[in-house]
This record gives sequence, C-alpha cells and structure tokens, in this order.
Amino acid sequence: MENQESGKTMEQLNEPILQVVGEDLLTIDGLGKSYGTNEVLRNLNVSVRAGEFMCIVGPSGAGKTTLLQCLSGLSAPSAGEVRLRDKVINEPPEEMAIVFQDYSRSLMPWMSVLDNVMLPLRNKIKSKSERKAKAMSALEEVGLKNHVGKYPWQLSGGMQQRVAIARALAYEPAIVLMDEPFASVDAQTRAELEDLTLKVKRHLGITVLLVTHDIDEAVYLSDRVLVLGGSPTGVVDLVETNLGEERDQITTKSTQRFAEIRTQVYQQIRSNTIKVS
Amino acid sequence: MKRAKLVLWEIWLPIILVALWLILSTNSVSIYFPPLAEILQRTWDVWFFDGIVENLLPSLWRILAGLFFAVVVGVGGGVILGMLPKFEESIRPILEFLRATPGVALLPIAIIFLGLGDNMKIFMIALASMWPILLNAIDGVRSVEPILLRVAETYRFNLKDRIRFIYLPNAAPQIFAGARISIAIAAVVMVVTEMIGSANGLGYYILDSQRTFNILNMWSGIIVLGILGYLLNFAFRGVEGAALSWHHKRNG
Amino acid sequence: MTIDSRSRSKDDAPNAREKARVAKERSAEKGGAAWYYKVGAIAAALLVWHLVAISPLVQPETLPTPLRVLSALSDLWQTAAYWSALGKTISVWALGLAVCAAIGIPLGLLIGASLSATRSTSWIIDFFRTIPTIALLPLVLLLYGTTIRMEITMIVLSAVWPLLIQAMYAVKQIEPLHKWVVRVFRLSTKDRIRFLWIPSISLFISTGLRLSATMALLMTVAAEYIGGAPGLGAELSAMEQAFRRPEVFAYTITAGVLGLSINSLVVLFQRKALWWHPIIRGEKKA
Repeated sequence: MENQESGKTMEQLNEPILQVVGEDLLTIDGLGKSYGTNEVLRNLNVSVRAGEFMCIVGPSGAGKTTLLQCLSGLSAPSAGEVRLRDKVINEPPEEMAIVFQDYSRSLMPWMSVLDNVMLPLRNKIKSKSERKAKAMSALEEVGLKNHVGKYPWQLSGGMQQRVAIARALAYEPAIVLMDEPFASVDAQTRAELEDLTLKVKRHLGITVLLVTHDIDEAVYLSDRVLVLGGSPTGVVDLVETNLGEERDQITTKSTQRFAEIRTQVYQQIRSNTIKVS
Repeated sequence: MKRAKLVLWEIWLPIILVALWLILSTNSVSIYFPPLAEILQRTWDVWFFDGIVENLLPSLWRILAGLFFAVVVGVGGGVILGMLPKFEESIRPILEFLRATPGVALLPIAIIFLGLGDNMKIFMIALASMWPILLNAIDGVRSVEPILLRVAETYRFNLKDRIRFIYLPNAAPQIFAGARISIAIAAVVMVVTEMIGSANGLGYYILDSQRTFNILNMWSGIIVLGILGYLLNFAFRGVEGAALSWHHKRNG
Repeated sequence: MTIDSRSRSKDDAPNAREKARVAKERSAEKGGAAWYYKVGAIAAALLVWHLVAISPLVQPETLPTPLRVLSALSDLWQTAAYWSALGKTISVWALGLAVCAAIGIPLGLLIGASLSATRSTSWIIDFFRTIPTIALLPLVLLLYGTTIRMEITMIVLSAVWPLLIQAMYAVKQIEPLHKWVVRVFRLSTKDRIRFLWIPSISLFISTGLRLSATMALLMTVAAEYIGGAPGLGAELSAMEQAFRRPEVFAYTITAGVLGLSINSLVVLFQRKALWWHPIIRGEKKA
C-alpha cells in the first residue's frame, strides 16, 4: 500500500509502514553540492531500495554530512535532485527521520527522555495518550523502559544515543538517516548499538541509510555499501554484502565473505585517497 | 574587500540617522531640540580647545584615576580572594551587599567622609566600578583547570610564578569582560558626582548649562561626553585585543 | 554519569535527608564555608564599624554607630514617609523594567535573528550603550519635570541595553542541532517557539533581566537623588541636607537591601526555572 499523497489520514499513519520491498524508495539523481566555488559533491547517482540497510562510507572530509543534509532536505542541492517515492525533496519529508551524531546536543536538555521522544509526534498525532504510548513503545524497543523520566544529561552516551534512535523510531518514518551515530561512543557500546539497530530495523521493517567512517561497521550492518571518494566526492562503488539476514558480531565478522567485502571496500577507499593527493 | 563591506554595513544606518537628525532639526523652533547644525557649531566653539582643558580634562583625570584604583583593588583583591575560597565565601554576604547597593545611595556617606572634592569622586568611581572586575577575577582564579596547578607543582612554581603564569592569564579574559562593564559604571558615577557638587567637569557643565538655560551648551556637553565614552571604550578594546590575542585566536 | 540529586524521576528521587547530604558535600567540595562563618564575618564587620565609630579616628558625630543607625531605622519604620518612599521607588523601578523588557526583548530577538540587522545596528547599540545616560537627566528634566514620565524615560534609556543585547546573543546561540531537529521532525511554528525557542533563550534573557534590573534601580535612585523625584533617593538627599547622619545610613542600608533582594529574586528564579541548564547545574562555564 503506497501513500503517494502527502495528505494522509490518521488510520494510514498508524498502520505499519508497508513498503513494497525492493522498490526504489529514495532516489539520488545527479546530485551535486557546492559552497561558493568549493564543489563538494558531484554527480551522485544511486537508489536506496525499500527495506534495505545501506551504509555510506568514505574518507573523512568527503562530504558525507553534506550529502545527508541534501538527502534530508535541510540543504538544497546545487545540481540534480533527491526524490522520495517520486516526490522531489526540498524540505524535510514527512516519512524521514534523522539520528544525528552528536546526541548530547541533539536532545533537548530541558525535557525528559519521554518528552524528547514524544516531541516529534506532536504534528502527527493529536491525542497525548497516543503519543505517549508510541513513545513508550519506542523506548521499550531500545531498552530504555526504566529511564523514561530521566533527563538526557543524566544518562550515559550510549543511552543518550538510544534515546535519539527511539525518537526517530516513534516517528514511524519510512526511512531513517543516521549520521555517524556510533562514532562518539566506546567500542563495546558501539557493538551493542549496532545490533540494536539491526534488530529494530528487522522488527519494524524500516529502511536505513547510515553514514559511517568505520568500514567494519558498514559491512557488518548493511545489505549494500556505497563507497564515496574522489575530489569532488562522487560514487566510487556500490557493493552488495550478501551476508544474509542473521548477523552476529562474532560469527559474521569471522566469515570469509566478510573479510573479502571488507578488503574490497577498503581498497576502493584507499585507492581513491591516493588519487586525491 | 570583505573588510570594507563589513564597515559599510556598520556605518550606513548611523550615517542616515545623523543626516536625518540634521535635516529634520534644521528649522526647529523647539527650545529643547535646537538644530543639530547649531549644536555642532557650538560644540566646536566651546570645546576646542578651552573647553577641553577646562572641563574635559578634569573629568578624564577622575575617571582614569578611579578606574586605576578599581583595577588594582579588583584584580589584586580578586586574586587573593580567589585563592582563599573559605575566606571569600565567608565575606561574600558583605561583598554582595555592598555591590548590590545602588552607587548613588553610597554617595552621601562618601560625602560625609571625604567632602565634595576630587578625592570623593575618585573614591566613589573606584568603589562603584570595582565590583565587576573583583567578582570576575575571583571567578577567573577559581576556574583554573586543576591539572594546570598540578603541572605547576611538578615544576615547583612558587606563589609569585603561579599567580603570574597561571592564575592571572586564566582570569584575564574574565577580568577584561568585567572591566568593560566597569568603564560604563565609572562613567555614570563620574557624571553623577560632578552633578552634585563640582566646579568643573562634564557632569557639572551639562547640569549648569541646563540651569542657566544654555540649551546649546548643554547639548554640546552631552555630545562631548558621548564621544569621550566611546573613545574610552575604543581604547579599551584595543588594549583588550592585544592582551587577549591568544584567547581570541583559540576561541575563533 | 552520576545521577544528579535533583533528578525528577519518580523512581529514584532521593529523600530529603539524602539530598541535603549531597548538597552539603558538594558545597564542601567547592571549599565553601558553612553559614556560621558568614554570620561570623558579618558580626566582625559590625564590630569593626562600631569600634571605628567610637574611636578617636573619626570626628564625633561623623560616623554613627551601628546601634544608632539601627535605632534610626526602626524609628523610620514607624513613619509613613519611609514606606511611601520605598513603595514609590519599587513601583517606578518595576514599571521602568517592564517597559525595558517590552521594548528590549522583542527588538533584541528580531535584530539577533538577522545578520544584516545585527551588523547595521551594532555601532549604534555600542555607542548608546556607552553613553552615561545620566548625562541626559538635565534634558529629560527640562522635558518632563520631576514626574514619573521623567523617571521611566531615564530608566529605559539606560537599562534597555542589557536586555536588548542579551536577547540578541540568545537568538544567536540557539543550538544549530536543535534547529535541525525541529525541521526534520516538521514541528509547527507554535511548537518550535514553545519547546525550542523559549527554553533556549531563557538563560540569556534572565541574565539580561538581572543586569537591567540593577541598572534600572541605579537610575531610579539617581533620578530621585539628583532630579528630585519622590522616592528613596529624595529621602536620602533630604536627610543629607538636614545633617541627619544616622538616617542617611539607614536609607543607604534600605537601598542596599532592596538591591540585594532584587538580585536574589532573579538568581532564585534562574535556579528554579532553569534548573536543567548545564550552566546552572554547574557543569559548564558560562
């Protein structure tokens, strides 16, 4: 059941997001972005399929955050366009949610965890009890059921990021963009959050587009890895991981296939950085 | 080119407003708002240069002397109190009380003890304007990163070195921020003290002109006072920029 | 991260005794002094005052002793003139501050939100901010006489600037990430104002309020003292001219207590309303 009009009814919003798995959900068409004379992105072409987990990797400074800003409608492209289900994105679309890297600054310190998660639902759901129910269920999904009354600054880094994830989930988007969401947490917490993201994606059937600089993470999490590189940045490669539905930090990462993909991605990135200098 | 553009942005509105004032007041018949052109003419006649010597220099002397003492007591006291937290917290209520009292209310007491002369004026200026410096200095000293003090310990710094190389530089940005407010307060107190008992000075001149209904003179005094205040701030900012260049570069 | 003792969560709100213990520990950690030190310091200061007053250091009758001042103060408390003057000063101050807020805050927010407006007005604001506004008192006296209008005009001319400038800063320092969040989740304008703008700017506005309140009080008393409008300042001047020294001290102390109360009120308000702010919590430096 596709919702192509923007005027949705309450019933349609509250039903689980059914996507025709495999159809193109987010289309990036000839995308370019320049700041003055500084061309950051040039001619990016890729389509994100509904229900997939795509990771974007590239060297630092490649403009990954710029790309996310264009994809989310926070920033207007200088060339080309981005479409969500055939509708051009020029402002943040209703079916999209973002998890930012700097969780401590993206959560509002004057509101409790629960209020933070409930906030985005205000323009979608009128009834407060319903908003609360959805927020509670999202917080339960990320394992924070016992901390709903606390304030963000009372929680650890990993927990704060889980709040940000819950906030995106409660919004019930079709696609979630994540901007290096686990870069600022320690390695162990990162592994937990990675698995949490996989579980949540599978459970709710959402599409995830995750930007990261960590190649292991990109290969572990995704169905396809988009490798960026060059100057100005463009698409270097799009790699299918074919690592199967079930992923596990220990077993998946010790398969040969994992090592092969990882090497491939690494080589692509490396070859590009050499080209730049 | 970019610099010029910035300057242009900052001056277009003031220029237009002054021009408007000039034009709109040309044919003014109001007693209290004479034509700007005449005011400027009078300012030129009166103040350059006899007026400067007669009234501006005394005011300038008082405010600079007062600020000097405010800085000395503020920084000195602030550093000492900053390093003695228990003592500072004990006398904090007294300090807060003195600071919160509107300076004007302390005037009569100062007059009782010091009469109406320059000493009283300089004392009041110093007393009223030292608080921002003092309190910010205390804060600046207290906020030194403990790890810096540990470094000082390993290099066996004595007290004088610690003050000079750690406490003072750390407190400097805040001291300067406080000093900026102090200048504003000092200007107000200077004018007030000159209005209530003085034979010279900008405050005296403005009030006296008003009493003798010399409106043009009164306006000229106001303008000169405004320029003086602005120049003081300008000079201060130059000093601050030079002394704190390391701080500004670091904070972007 | 340890749980702040002011946690609002029902699950782990510590009982009152625990809270007090944590607060005392925190205060002791910072090298704070217990309340009896402060009282001791005040008592010592009063003692010094008393000794100086009765010593040959000062001419007799110049410096009244603390007891003399206290007795003068309690006598004044019986008079209508005292309370009427106090009430007058407070009400004029409050009205003046309200006008400052009504003008300064909206204007500051608007100017701060626009880079070109900020640039265009920066010089003007800077210039007017540094003028000792008291210099305009003679002019305003000519225009309005010793009326409330004169006082309000003087207050606004001098005390609107901190609020204006702080409001400008407030707009500029709104966390960019928060602005993105409300855009991504497409919050309505009303919701943005209520959940983002107001909490974000409240710290700066309250600081501006504190600065403006102090300036406004100063100007109120000055306008009364020099300009002759009725109020604390006028009484102060009257007592001075009548050589009633203990009463002069009594009124000065009254003014000091008034200033202190105003300051404490604003700080208290800041702590209560902004308890979640990292600066108020003490985590970050201003």
